[in-house]
Amino acid sequence: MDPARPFPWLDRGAVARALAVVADREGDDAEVYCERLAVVALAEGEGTPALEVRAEQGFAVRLGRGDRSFLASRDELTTAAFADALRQVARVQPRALPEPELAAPPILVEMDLVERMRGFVRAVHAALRQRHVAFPLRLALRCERREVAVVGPRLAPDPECEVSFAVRAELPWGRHGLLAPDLDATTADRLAAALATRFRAREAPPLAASSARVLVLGPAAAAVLVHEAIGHALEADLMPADGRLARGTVLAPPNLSVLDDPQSAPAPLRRQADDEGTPVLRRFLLREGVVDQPLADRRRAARASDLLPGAGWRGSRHFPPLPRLRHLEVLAGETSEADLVSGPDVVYAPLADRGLLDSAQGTFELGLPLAWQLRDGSRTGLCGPLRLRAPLASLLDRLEAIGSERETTGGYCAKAGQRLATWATVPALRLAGVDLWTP
Amino acid sequence: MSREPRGKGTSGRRPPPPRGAQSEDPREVVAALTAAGLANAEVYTKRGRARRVELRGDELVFATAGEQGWAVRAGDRHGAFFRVGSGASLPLDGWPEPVAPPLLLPERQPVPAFSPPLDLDAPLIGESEASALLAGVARELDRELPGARLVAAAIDDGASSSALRNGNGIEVSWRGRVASLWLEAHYAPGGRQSGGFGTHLYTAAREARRLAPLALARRLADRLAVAAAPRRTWSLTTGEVVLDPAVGTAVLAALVPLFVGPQAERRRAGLVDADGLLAARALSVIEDGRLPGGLLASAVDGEGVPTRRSLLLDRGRALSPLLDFRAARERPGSPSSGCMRRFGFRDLPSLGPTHLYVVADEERTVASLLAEVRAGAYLLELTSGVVADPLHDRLELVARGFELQAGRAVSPLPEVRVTGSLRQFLRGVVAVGRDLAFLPLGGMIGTPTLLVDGLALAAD
Repeated sequence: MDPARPFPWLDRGAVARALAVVADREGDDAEVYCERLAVVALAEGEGTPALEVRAEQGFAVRLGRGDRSFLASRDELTTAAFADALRQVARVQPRALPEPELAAPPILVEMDLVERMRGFVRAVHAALRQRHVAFPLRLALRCERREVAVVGPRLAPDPECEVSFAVRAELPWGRHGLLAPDLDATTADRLAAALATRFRAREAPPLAASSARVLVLGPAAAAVLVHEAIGHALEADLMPADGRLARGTVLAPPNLSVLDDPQSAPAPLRRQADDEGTPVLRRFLLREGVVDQPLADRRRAARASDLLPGAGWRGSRHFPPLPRLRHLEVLAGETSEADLVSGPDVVYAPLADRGLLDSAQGTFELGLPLAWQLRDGSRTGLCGPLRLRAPLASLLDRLEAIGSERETTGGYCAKAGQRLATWATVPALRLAGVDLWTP
Repeated sequence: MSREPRGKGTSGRRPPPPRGAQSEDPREVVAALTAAGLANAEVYTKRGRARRVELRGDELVFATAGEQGWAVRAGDRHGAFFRVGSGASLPLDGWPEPVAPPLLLPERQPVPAFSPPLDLDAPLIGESEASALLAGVARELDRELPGARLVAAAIDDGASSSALRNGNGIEVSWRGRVASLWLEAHYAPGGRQSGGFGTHLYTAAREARRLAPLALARRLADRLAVAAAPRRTWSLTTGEVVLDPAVGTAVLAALVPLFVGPQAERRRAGLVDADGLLAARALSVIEDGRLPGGLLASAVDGEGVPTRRSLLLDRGRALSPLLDFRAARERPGSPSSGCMRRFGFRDLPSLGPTHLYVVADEERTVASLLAEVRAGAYLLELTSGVVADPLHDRLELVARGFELQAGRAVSPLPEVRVTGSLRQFLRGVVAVGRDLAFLPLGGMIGTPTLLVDGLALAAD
């Protein structure tokens, strides 16, 4: 696969003409989604086999008409399969259906990645030794390259390519994972730092009981909070029907602005169009604390005049797109790192391992695997797992300050069982008066 | 960094395939792997069709997926790889260099006679059938409990055929046909727009068209009616609990690690008493990969190893856990079973049950179990996950149901927490019913209604 020019052999005009025969009524919404995937995965230690190589390709044809959608997907990119899928979604069998030539070449997999992965593993172990820690550790790495081409009856954006690297560390006391745009020295060092901290926290005492604490979430933890508590709440298919989160609703303090902008993600992961072929937006979910533009796919945008499409994403060609976050951004604030952690009794949590929003009850829960206790900016000790649980509205009201420095982190979101890589560029957040408890 | 075939192959007679050559014949692929020095080889192919009908709010989505792909596990004495691709054609060259550890594949064994289910050829549910099923559930639900509505649903109906060949002489094929249904319902008394109560139901059948809208609607309505009942404070330090199969299967699913895998004995060691008993004599558990009528029944598992019936718990006494052939090799005298499942061509085989169930008592009706309860609860539906911790001997779950007094339901319990010792739960199974029911919980897990004594119950 050539990341610079994916799908050079695909006659998008011919595919569009064929699709137009099926999507022939006013108001019809249709697209053909083609994808080619190359995966190389390497795991240390036991477990067979340690090396996985995957190359697969396929497509999906989708027709939306009225309140119904019809999807036909296949695990091949061939002329016959495409014609069969078109006939399957067509509501009336056309007399003549163009059959564009689809002759996908084999997918080339970069086996050089195996040696790069081995080098990354060595770098992580070396970085751990530099931190004077040693513990049983198994690393599993995965590189995924995805080429996507979306063709509509009238719109066909340029095909695109995404490349991401996932690392999973298996430890005796749990797991730690990260998603990165590259397996470089910075990523290795960042992973080693997180693992070393987890190692030191494995027998840390619980946080002393008290309420109304000052909690500072590091960028990685803040990303989970914002993704789960704000991002999901403002996906058009999950928003409550009673208008509680309608545009113009004040959801957070005025110093918080949250965006989704797939075009500004790290370079190997940027997208110009979503998985429906609609150009993406630099979309303010919250503008100065006020709900502005929720995430919507084309179907939901068509039914609500105040929604804009461009956020329809798929976990796989076998599922229709859903409104989802791809690259979350929180605009930087003005508070320095020193000022964020100032105060006599501050809890600093660099990581979050889970976040859960209960839309029906309006409550949010965040799991923090470890935290530092600080006094006047200096670390006084490490404590074990914590939980934060609060009504969402009151939690956001506790946002006291936003950091001035942002970091980019990645992770997987599994909304509706569809796993999707998602990114966040977020600063640290300071929350005052929160209740923390030990699970 | 790919393994190319040696000059003349191991036989000295077979020329290497041309670069980029492909084949749809697994025998050719195994031969090509052998010629490349990768005689430890397995080729798996799968082809399937699935229909999914999803209700999302006011929108219906009809999706038909054609699945076709292959997976090769292969290696030499030093290492192995797992290579996966879509489509019907497999490569004959360009194999990756194997990476340690090496691969152990099963040897060919005689496969006992097996009669595949007769209904594997039933067509997938059609669009109008699926719409009618969901509309029927919605209509009956509103009739059973006015104001209750179906808010989300998903029907998955699929059929597949798989074939496997390995370098040790295994050459098998099998077919599958399973449907599942997910329903989510909501009820807001007084027609309120927000708040209210929700429930869900997940079930499986050979074909989606066999699922009965009225029965499904009644179950949803019963659960919502209980959920909407007024909450009250109530507790029993030690009570009797009757578990509907919907709850019992979830508890058994949480206990699977005590019966499956080479670590099972270590996990349950702290729960076994001096007489070697793990549970009450009323409890027996079986795993059966070829269960007659079982939705996942097959002659062989995902590695081509014959499946069989394994008694894992015999009237309270734990027997050898479910082991694959690799683990059984490490323990002379331990039986192995074909228990490595493959979910799709992209997935490695993994150890797990196919049909794991509590043996029913054909003499006991549910009514007779309820009649035995002096004071306790009848639990119909879980509202939380099950915590079953053998290390700390702890069992905890939250459910909905009815308070029972002298064998009769006296009032609904919208939320009741059941806590206790896991050991006490296992030994406290007084009786089991005859209504064995299976649910899809990572394999088909089955229990009849269970009567359990000695657990703490609290509602507030």
